[in-house]
Amino acid sequence: MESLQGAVALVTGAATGIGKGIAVTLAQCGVMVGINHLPGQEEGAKDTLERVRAAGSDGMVLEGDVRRRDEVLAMGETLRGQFGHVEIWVNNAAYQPNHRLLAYPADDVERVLDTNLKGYLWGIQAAARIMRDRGYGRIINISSVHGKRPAGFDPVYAMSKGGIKMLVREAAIELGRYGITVNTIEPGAVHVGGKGNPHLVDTPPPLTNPDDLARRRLTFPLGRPGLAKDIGYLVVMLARPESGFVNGAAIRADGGSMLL
Amino acid sequence: MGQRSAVELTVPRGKSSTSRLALITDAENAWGQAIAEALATAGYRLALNAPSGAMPAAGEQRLGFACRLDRRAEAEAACQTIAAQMGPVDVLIHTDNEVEPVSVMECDEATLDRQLATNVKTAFFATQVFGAEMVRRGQGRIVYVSSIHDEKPTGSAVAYAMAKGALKMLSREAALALGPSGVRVNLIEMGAMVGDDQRFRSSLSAIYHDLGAKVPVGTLGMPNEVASVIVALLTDGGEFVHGAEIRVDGGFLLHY
Repeated sequence: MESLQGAVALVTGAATGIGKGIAVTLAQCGVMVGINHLPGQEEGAKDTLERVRAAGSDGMVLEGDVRRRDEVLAMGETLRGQFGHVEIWVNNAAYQPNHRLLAYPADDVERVLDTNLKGYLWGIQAAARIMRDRGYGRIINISSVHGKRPAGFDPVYAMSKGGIKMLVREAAIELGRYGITVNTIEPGAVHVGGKGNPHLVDTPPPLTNPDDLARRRLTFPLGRPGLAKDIGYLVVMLARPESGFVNGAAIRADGGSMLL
Repeated sequence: MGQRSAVELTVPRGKSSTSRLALITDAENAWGQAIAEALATAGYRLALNAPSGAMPAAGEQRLGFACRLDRRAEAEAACQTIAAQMGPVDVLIHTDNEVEPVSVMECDEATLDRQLATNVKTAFFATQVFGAEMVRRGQGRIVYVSSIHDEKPTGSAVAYAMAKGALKMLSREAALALGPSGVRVNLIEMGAMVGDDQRFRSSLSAIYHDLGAKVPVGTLGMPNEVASVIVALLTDGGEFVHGAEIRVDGGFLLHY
């Protein structure tokens, strides 16, 4: 297997949650990481950078709002300016306010679609502009099992994930000519220690009594929810040069939960 | 949500089709027109929206109005107007469907905004406003007229495909949210329609090359064929068809 040592990745929404886990897992494989975060998430982004360096790699913090195309394009160029190249781009930043259908506020409809849909399109455009110069790239989009299965707790979030599915399929056929692959990961429930938690969560929530495990297996066949590093490993797999024939795919990573 | 008995489930609910009111969200395009005529023939009263702003012809059994359903306030105003003049909407049919060719790399924010507004936000706010009324009444039908391009990429119109991908999830979510209140929600995936080879002309994909030869039924689809499926879907006794996607493409997608 070829090494990912020295490759450069940009991960959006990497101050917290799944994005942090992806950044750290990539760093463990020698990838240098651009850590995107929103204003106000400096602590989490700094923590991610420290963990990236502790893993023996390097990186930089990139503040920016993925809803803004100009900011996304600028982040890509800043990262390329720092490290000379970018061959992995992970669209991960998402917004999920959890409103019910009939009571969904109109401004949050816009914010969810802007962050989750536009943000991913701008990311793909920014990544492809950089990657096509070298005729090589890996664009990996973190979606959700709720791009197919309705969630029941946030219809617009699910709509945005349905849109990402089609964006990825369109991009896969359009960007293939540049040596760029575009794929989706569909995580199920991932334990990140609560929304906005700036710290990395590396273990499942503890079981407090013997009945817990049996109950948990009714939701998670493996007896545990996902962890950010589970998604990170899958990102690494798709980012490898050897995965070059995987294009336009959507890989579910939910421990088998949706089969129950 | 109260428990329904099996007997209640098998008895057609609501008024007979002779007096049901159907709202068509875009009655100006070919599909909206064909669906309006098919429903009128089947005895429905009609509320017809003209997104362009040109007021449709009204009549004894049909009300014309012109509003932007991608704006919630306008959708609410339309709901009040229709209720005052025609009574509550029994059937919501989302027909807004516009294709703007644009590539992934060239898609700008204005194009994406327009395509999302036309193809999915109209559906979302119409569902919120008219769906809430249906929930209050404990009955109603919603049908979204969408496209096979909610799954199959176009190679020519990324913003359209994104919008239809989102619309498919709206339909599934609405089925979960509104089903327990007696509302039935389904989606039509139309494809291989007359004109699609021009509408989706692509330099990346050969999907529409020799289109006529690829459709197993041997002909391309017409809007009236979509309309007749919708009339059948709305027939009493179809209440167990819910959260479904019904492909109306003459078998075209079997090749893909």
